[in-house]
Amino acid sequence: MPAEDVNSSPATHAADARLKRVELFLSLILRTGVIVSFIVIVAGTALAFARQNEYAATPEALRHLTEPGAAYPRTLRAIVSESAQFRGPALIMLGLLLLVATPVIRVAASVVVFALQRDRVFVALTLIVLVLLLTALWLGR
Amino acid sequence: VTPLTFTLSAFGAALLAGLVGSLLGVGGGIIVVPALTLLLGVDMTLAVAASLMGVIATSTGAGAAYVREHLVNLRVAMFLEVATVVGAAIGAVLAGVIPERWLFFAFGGVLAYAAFAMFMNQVTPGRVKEAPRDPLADKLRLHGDVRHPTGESTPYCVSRSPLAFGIGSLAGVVSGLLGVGGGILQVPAMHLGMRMPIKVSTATSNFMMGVTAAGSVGVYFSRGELNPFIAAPVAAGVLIGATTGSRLLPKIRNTYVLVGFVIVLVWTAYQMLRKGFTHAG
Repeated sequence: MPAEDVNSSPATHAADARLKRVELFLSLILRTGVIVSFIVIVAGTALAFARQNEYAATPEALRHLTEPGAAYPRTLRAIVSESAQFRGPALIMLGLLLLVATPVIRVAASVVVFALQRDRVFVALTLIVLVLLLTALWLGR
Repeated sequence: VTPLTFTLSAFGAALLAGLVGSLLGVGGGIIVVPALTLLLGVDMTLAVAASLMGVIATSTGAGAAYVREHLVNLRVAMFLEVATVVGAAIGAVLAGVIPERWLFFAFGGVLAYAAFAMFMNQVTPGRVKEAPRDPLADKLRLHGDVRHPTGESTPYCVSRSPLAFGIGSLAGVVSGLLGVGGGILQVPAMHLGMRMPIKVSTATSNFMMGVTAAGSVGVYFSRGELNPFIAAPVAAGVLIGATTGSRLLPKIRNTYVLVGFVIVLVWTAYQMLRKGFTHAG
């Protein structure tokens, strides 16, 4: 029973310190994803409003932007190449994809963490999650 | 409404959704979807796609703080993620096979029961039965502890992990089929079933949710339903709301978190049952 009252034993202290390092590491990954994707999404929105004709301030423009099928760009290639040209909508999509990638990277990092701890059961569990996630994303690319 | 006012309104709704979602571990879709469809006239599918981005944003934004604050039980999260991700895959396959109407009834019924159980658990805490020992939780070392501001910590034992695993896969199926975050089933499963403290349950549910949502957002992207104009203010607003909410959670009393969660539970159960009754087919 791991949750017994052995708070002061040296072994528990070592385990606590190790858990704390893991927590800080995973937190850093999530925080980096949040900051980077937020900056890219906001910059893309600002550029779109400043430069794109389709963001003109009329109700008709809004109808165009929000109707089904209006989403653009839709392919990874278009997102990357148009982001390089600093086109707003492409940058927003890039930021959204970076945000989606963050939990996936967190799962991949967990696999590594459990492997370093030689925790075979949890390496297997996190690998299952990672493979299923990547499969789902690959099918939807 | 012009594109600028649309962006500002969606941003405002997303701020609120991120705040509520991060505190209660439910993702905030219950605010984003109605705000986009009812107030701003967005098509349902596009709203669900944007809401999934909001779920990922809540999970990531608040998760960063909850993991650092030791509020997330990482081993429980990663154990249950297997269930939700497998469930979400099954849900995607089943979509269109199961009549939606019965799905709404089943989901609404389960939520209504969860609301009742959480309410009773709060009103009559003395009558709570001793939690059974859980050999699987022992073996996987799922037990955890709550750290207090004073620096000391209280350990808690996790119970009934196989049941929570089953509910987790159901939550994944529902999330894949209806686009409703699995958090609303996950939190009662962890708090009532596994006997985890309420804040640890909402923080852990919140942490897991991004993975479930990331698994289903790809489908929307490939169908061209992830619209950057709609999703941008949602993602940006939720990121700020969730980061703010995650700073508040450690300071809020358990009772407020519980009461807030039960209110959201009752509301969602009502919505689902109503959809079941009015759904054609």
